[in-house]
Amino acid sequence: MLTPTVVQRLREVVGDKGLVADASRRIPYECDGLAFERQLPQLVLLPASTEEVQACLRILHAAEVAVVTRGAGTGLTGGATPVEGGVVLGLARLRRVLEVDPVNRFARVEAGLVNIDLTRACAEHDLFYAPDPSSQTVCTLGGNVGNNAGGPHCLKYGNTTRHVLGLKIVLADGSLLDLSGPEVDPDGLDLVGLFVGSEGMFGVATEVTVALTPAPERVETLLALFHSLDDACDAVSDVIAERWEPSALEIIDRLTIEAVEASVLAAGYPPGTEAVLLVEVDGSDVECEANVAGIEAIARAHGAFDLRRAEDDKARKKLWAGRKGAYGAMGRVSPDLYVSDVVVPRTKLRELVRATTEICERHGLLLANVFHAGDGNLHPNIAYDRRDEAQLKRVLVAADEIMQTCIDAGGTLSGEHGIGLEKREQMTMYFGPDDLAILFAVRDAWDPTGRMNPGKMLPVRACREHMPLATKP
Amino acid sequence: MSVDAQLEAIVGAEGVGELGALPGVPVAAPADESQAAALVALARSDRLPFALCGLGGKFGWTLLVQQPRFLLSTRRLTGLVEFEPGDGVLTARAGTTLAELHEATAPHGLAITPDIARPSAATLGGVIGAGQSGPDRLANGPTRLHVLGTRTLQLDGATTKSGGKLVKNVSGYDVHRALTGGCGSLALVLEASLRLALAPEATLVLSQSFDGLQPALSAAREVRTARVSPHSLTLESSVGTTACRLHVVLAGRTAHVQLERERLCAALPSAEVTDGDAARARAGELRDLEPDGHEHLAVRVTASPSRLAAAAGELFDCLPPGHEARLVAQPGLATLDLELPNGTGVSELQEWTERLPLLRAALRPLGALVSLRLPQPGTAELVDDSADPVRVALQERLRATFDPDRLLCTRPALGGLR
Repeated sequence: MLTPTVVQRLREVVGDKGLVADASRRIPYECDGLAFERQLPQLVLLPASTEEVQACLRILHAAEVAVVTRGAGTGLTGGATPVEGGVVLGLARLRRVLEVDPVNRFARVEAGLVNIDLTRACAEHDLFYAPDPSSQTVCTLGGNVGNNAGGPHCLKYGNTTRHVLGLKIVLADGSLLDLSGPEVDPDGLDLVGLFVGSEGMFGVATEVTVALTPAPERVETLLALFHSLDDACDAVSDVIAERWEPSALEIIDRLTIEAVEASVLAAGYPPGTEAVLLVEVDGSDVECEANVAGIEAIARAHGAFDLRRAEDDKARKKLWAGRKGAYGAMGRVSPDLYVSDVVVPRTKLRELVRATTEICERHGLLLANVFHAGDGNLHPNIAYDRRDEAQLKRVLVAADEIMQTCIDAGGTLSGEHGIGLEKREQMTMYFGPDDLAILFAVRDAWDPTGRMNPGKMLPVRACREHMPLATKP
Repeated sequence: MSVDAQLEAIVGAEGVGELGALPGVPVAAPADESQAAALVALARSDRLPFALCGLGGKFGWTLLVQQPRFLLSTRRLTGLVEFEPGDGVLTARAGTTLAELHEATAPHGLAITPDIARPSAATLGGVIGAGQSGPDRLANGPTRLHVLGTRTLQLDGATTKSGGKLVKNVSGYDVHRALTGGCGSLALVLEASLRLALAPEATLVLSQSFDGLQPALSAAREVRTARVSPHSLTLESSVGTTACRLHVVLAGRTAHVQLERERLCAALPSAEVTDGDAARARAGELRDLEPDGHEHLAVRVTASPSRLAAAAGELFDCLPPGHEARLVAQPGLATLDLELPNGTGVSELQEWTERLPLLRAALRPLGALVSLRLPQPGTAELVDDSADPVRVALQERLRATFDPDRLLCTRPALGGLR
């Protein structure tokens, strides 16, 4: 329990600067990007070092207080929503680049470092950090690790887990698990691989060692314009099936195009276009030319009525600013946006994008699509107003139907946003009771107290009884 | 009834055999999942310690904490479950060999990664259990990143899944990451889904000789900075010579491979070039150079690329006097294998058991790890007891979660011995 004595002991660890007790200053921490799930934390701690995190967790362990770790709060599933009576442990002050090793191509950074700042820190060595969530100018490496974050270029380079070489983790009792490596292969069980994507339920990552990728020699960005969303989807399925290697393949639909073009992020997507396919290829000249020619031919074959190439870096940045700013631009359409995240087989893009549209139409909801088409990662974005409770209910019902439809077609619940609170109960759509029992048991092994980000990911109405496997009936 | 008779009652006479690595221990190979479940139930009810294997080729890379009463082999659980070329993913049963998977994917212009040594002797489940990667890891990344999901048989008889069959998926914890490289210490992998790589249009091998290991490693470093992305980089030396040969395998679209060849002229000015079918065959031979420990003890050191030369020095210093070795290194990946062909392996094991702590101590400041590949499974005395206790405790808790009765005899490395 968070008694005044406990608070005083915490203050002694983090100082006045690292402790937010005042109610009005705690409000920004009451939710993440899932705005309709809110809970005011009882206290916010902002430690400035791994040692301070350890000391805080030791005190909170003894006081049996729940802990929710938070990066920048850009998560979209309520993974950083506080729990009643619990503490939010913000890592915003842990933002140093500790080491950049250009020879061995890795960097060691504190978990609160903003994603884009890592790429900036290693740019002088012609290296970059590949995962690029849309929120990369704000989101932190620690948050990326927690959610196994993706981004447009993960089509070629893979989600966060492909790039994490080591971690420094503070466990629930304050002990330090030093896996900071980097190790070529895990020494024993792959604890790092298991931790990535664990949504703050295993411990607090305070340092992250990541692989750095050589900056590509050349980058080409294309825009293919379609009269139909179906055609754009089919083009993507064929690009993958014919084994071309773009680094990003993004689809933006008409509603999103209109919102972007009406905003300060206007990217030059032509109005009246039903779907834009934003393509990026990178590599040597010969690789780029081969990929561009192959992808353009497929786009034409599927009815692309215009194909454009970004002529320079400025034009490229403009096209991407439109894509990455799409969620913000949707603010012109409605006050709130429910950003769904499902993955489907890339051979079934057209039918499942269509199905999501039909579901939203049936519920009288406005749907906008902007998604990572190349890896089958759909983001059906449903416009709504959270003050309209009936509408919010319809949004949640539609989101459930979308998830079930995608899972029935061989898809999955999430490609990059994680489960958090948003999809916790929907885990039973994808996992059976025995699968969930393993997840509960693994969480217990990491955090026997169950105080690290409780109530997230694992469904309340779960499965076999939560107990060690061999004792189950 | 004897254990042998009970095993035979479950899997039939054709499903029972023996393995060279563990003579005297019966091997039971279930023909389907119900037989596998019956074997696990037998182990649980009769408290029989057992170990998991595929064809048993990598059994000597593991560590036994107790003598198994039987081995459960997946060699008869074979075949493709799903293969969708248009999505670039494949799901197969654990006993399917890598060679069979290569055969299934090649006609579609796709390739299995990891491309490991001797693929016809390696099962998918065995490769996952060992966490084994091939030289193509330089281009494609390690095996653990290509396993998209698994279906497993738990020791309580439940069949569970982790991950899935899609190239992108963050639903639930990645339990399959713990199974990959877990040395069969958690559960029996029944099926696994893999992300496939693209089969290269062209392959080219550049080979150049050097007077010793250090100049060869320097050349390898130059290759890494020459704006090329080799499929693999292999360095070899034969027994009784200090001369080394560096092989660079380039693979991809034809024009790109030619471009990379030109870029390597400065780093490898006198390289011999092999192309066409000969290059593909040569790349396969280079892949198969990796010592497996079957006949001779092999020592593997891994270190950061920039520290590999220093780690190699420590390893050679640690060689027993008069010993000669065959060396195979993947300098781009920072692994170095030393095969010691002077004995049967078994006779040298005692000597290495004594030398390991010294080698570990010498390698620790370099952040390097050492592991052994033996003709037979290693024993508990080879464990590094200086490992981080927090890490050890967590691994033990995870093991206990899956195997509370300690029925599985293998265990993953804890502090430097795989």
